[in-house]
Amino acid sequence: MENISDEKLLEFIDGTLVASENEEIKNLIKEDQALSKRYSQFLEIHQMLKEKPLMTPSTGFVDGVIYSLSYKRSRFRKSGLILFIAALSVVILGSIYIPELVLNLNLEPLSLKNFKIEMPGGIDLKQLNIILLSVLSFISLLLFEKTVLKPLFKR
Amino acid sequence: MTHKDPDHNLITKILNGDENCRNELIVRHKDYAYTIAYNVLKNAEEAEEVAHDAFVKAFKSLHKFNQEAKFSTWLYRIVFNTAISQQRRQKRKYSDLDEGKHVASSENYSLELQDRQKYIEQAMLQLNELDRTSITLFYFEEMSLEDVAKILDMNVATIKVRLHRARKRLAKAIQEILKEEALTL
Repeated sequence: MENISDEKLLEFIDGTLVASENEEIKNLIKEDQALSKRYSQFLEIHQMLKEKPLMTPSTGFVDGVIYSLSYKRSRFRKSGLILFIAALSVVILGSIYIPELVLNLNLEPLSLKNFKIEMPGGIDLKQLNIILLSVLSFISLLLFEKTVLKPLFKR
Repeated sequence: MTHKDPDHNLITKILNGDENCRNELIVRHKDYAYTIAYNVLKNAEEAEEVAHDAFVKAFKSLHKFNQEAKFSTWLYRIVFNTAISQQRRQKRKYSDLDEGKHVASSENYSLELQDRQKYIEQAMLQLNELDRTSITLFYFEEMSLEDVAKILDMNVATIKVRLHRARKRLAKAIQEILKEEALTL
C-alpha cells in the first residue's frame, strides 16, 4: 500500500487536493487503521484551530487610536508651538531693546470754520511698544495654553 | 470598477474626509490585529500597543494604500512588521506568565471546548512566532495561503510548508500535553 505522507493528509484536510487524489485518500483512510489514526489526530488539530477564538484588546482601544490620530494629525499644534516660541522671542527682545523715542509729526492744526482742532505733536514709540508687547504676551499665553498645556493634561 | 472588499467603501469615505468611518474600520479589524500582535509578542500589553501603533501608521499612510489590494492584508502586514520590530527592540524571550490576561471574544464555551482551547494555547507556545502567526492567519476565515504569504512577505510554497510543519508540531505537542495530564491524574 502507498505510504501517505503527513503533508498529503494535511492537504486532504485543507481540501487542496485534486478530486482523484482526494477520493484515493478517502478510501485509504477507510481501509488503513494507522492512517485513519493519523488523519484523526490532524483533523482534531484542524478543528481546534478553527474553533480558536480571536483575542480582543481592551475596551478603550478604539478611542485610544482615534485620539492618537487626532492628536498626531493636528497641524495647528505644531504650527501653534512655533508661533508661541516666535511670539515669546519678540516679547523678550522687544522688552530688552525698547526704544525711548518720540516720533514728531509736526502736523498743522485742523481748522474747520469756527473750530480749530489741535493735532498731536508726536507719537510716544515707547508707549506704543508697551501696548504691542502686552497684546503679544497675551497671544503667547493663549498659544501656550492651546499647544502645550491642553494636550499635556489631555494625555 | 466594483470592489469586493467591503473595506474599500469605508476607505474612500475616510479619504474624502469622513473621519467617523475610522471607528468602524478599527472595530472591524481590531481583534485580528491584536491577535496577530499577540502571537508574535506573547504579551497582552505590548500586543495592544503594537496594534494601536499599527492602526495609527495605517491611517497616516492610508492615501498610499493601493485600492486594488485587500485592506486587511495590507493592515495585518503593518501589524506583523510592527510587532516584529517591537520584538527586536525588546529582545525579550517569550513568557507565558501573562497567559489568560487576554479575553476571548465569544463567551459561551462548553467546558470541553475550553479544555481544547487550553491545550491548543499551550501547544501554540511551542511554535516560533512565524509559525504561530501563519497558523493564526490561515485559520482566520478569509485568509487564503496567498493572503498569508503577502502578510508575512514569503512565497506561498514556504507558507504551505510552514503550516504543515506547524500543525505536525502542534499534534505532537498536544499528545505530550495530554500524556502529562494523564500522568498527573
